[in-house]
Amino acid sequence: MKIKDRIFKSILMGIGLISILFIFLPILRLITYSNPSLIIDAIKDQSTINAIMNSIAFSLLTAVFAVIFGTPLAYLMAKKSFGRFEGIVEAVSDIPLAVPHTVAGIALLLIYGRDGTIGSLFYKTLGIKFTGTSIVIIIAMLFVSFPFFIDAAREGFKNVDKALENASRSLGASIFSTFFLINLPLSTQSILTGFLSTWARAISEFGAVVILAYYPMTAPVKIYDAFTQYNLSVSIAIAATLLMFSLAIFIALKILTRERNGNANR
Amino acid sequence: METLTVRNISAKNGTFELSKVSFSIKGGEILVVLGQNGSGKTTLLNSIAGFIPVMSGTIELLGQAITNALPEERNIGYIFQNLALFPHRSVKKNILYGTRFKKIEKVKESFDSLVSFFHLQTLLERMPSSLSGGERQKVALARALIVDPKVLLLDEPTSQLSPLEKERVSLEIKQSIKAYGKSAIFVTHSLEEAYIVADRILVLEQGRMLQIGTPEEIFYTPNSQSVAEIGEVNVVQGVVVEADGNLMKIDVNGIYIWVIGEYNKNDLVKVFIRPEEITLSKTLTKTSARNNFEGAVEKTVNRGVLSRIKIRINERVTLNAIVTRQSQNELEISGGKKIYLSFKITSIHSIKM
Repeated sequence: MKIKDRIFKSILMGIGLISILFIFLPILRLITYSNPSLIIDAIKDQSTINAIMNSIAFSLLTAVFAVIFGTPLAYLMAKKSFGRFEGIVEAVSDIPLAVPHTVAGIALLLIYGRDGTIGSLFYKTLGIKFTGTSIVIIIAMLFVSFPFFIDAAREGFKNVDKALENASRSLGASIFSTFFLINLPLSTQSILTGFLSTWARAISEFGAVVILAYYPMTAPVKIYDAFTQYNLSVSIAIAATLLMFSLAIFIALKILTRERNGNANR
Repeated sequence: METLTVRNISAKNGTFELSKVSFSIKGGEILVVLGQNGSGKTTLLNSIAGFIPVMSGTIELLGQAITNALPEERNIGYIFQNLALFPHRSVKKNILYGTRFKKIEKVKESFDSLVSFFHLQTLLERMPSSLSGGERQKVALARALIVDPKVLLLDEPTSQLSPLEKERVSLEIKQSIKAYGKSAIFVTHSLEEAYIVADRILVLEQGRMLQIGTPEEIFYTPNSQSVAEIGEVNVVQGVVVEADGNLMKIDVNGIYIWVIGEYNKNDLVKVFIRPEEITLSKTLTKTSARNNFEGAVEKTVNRGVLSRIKIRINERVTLNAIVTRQSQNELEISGGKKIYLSFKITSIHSIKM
């Protein structure tokens, strides 16, 4: 390798290392900062555990709903089924990425709040109130994380070779059968990636959630609560605990999907 | 009875337009669709298969109109350029895929017979990604044949193979189609492949059908300059200056070529000369051929065992000849070297303009 190339590669490596440290350092600091006894205390506190469990359960449900409602939309978008409205549909599905989350929370409040378009309908006819319930937390999480799933799944469906679909059709399969036997299995990896991204985004959601439901408390709200009511070290202990839970699930799912991918390639 | 009849179909694929193509194929016949890239070959196949809608015209399969039928209702098999084997299904599951949807009598017998015909016994549990090009080819054919299609469409199925494999595999494909008595449309841009596979050839250019006929008709008696060029035939144009019975002397930009035909003096005529019909020699030899010329080698292009030699006869006339590499060496052919050409009057085709 020429000296010029070596220098160039070293510069790239240096900048690359700075980038990875930029992400890793705060995470490492958070985990190592807290006194282990404080973390144990945090885990012993039932309200902390409840908040963490709420976050995990609600975000996982959010990811499941994203798969159920997002897969058809992603498939239709990948197949360019919206014709000249394609650009508009794509832009609308990505709006949550550009909206500040507190703004999203207020917008959702206008729909699902007691006086909101849908919220009032449910409240007046069935006496059901969304605000302050787990339902509205999942709605808020889904709203802000939906584009992560749709984009990943759409790319997956787009990457399925059209010839495979046509081969399936010429062998007698309808669009319905082709979807379940060809499109869906070949997009599984992208759907799993979308599921993971949605889950990861949803578990960390604070801005939209806190506007719609302070209770039942999710972990980010609990951290904020501890930060404002107690002191930094308690909120750090809860934050570190949530981080470890999240990382454990995240790594487990990554390994799981990698194994799946490996098997599919064999 | 005709197996497939296509009447005046026009179809659009993006900005490309296929315009008024008509032909029919008989039971067991292989029609090769020959054309350059972008001539509309795949668009034609896709409209017959139902993957793209036709704008006008009709398609009939065994007398039944299928113009607007869904692809899965057509009973037309398709072998794709990339073969389109399902990557997440084993060879066995790929072959059996269509039997889920189409009522096939004696599926097991058909499966066993196809597996044995294509020698796939040891590959059944393998995934497509682990197969060689030739093996994947056979799986694609078995998968298409198991559902007993009335017509098989093949879109440049050997395009991903090496030139050596190409010839062998295209012959194998032809043998399989014939063995199963299927009618087929085989798309290619390779003349050699067209010659190997075709019962008849349809020439397409820019979405229009130029000529349909036997390989001999297409390569030796093209009906236009475009067909001749696609068939790599030399095309020159001249004026009849002498008519002696059916022997015509044509002035082609200062050289005289003799052809057989029934023209009048001063008629404008196009003359087609197949490059392999031109004999080259180092010295002027007495032959029975009426057409003898002296020229200079302008360019040589090696194509495997054959070489294509471009020879300039005068400032305005060049002809291409094809010789074996061995002949090229014996004739000591190199750029600028003087060479003699001759071709028989009976080997030339001509048409009046």
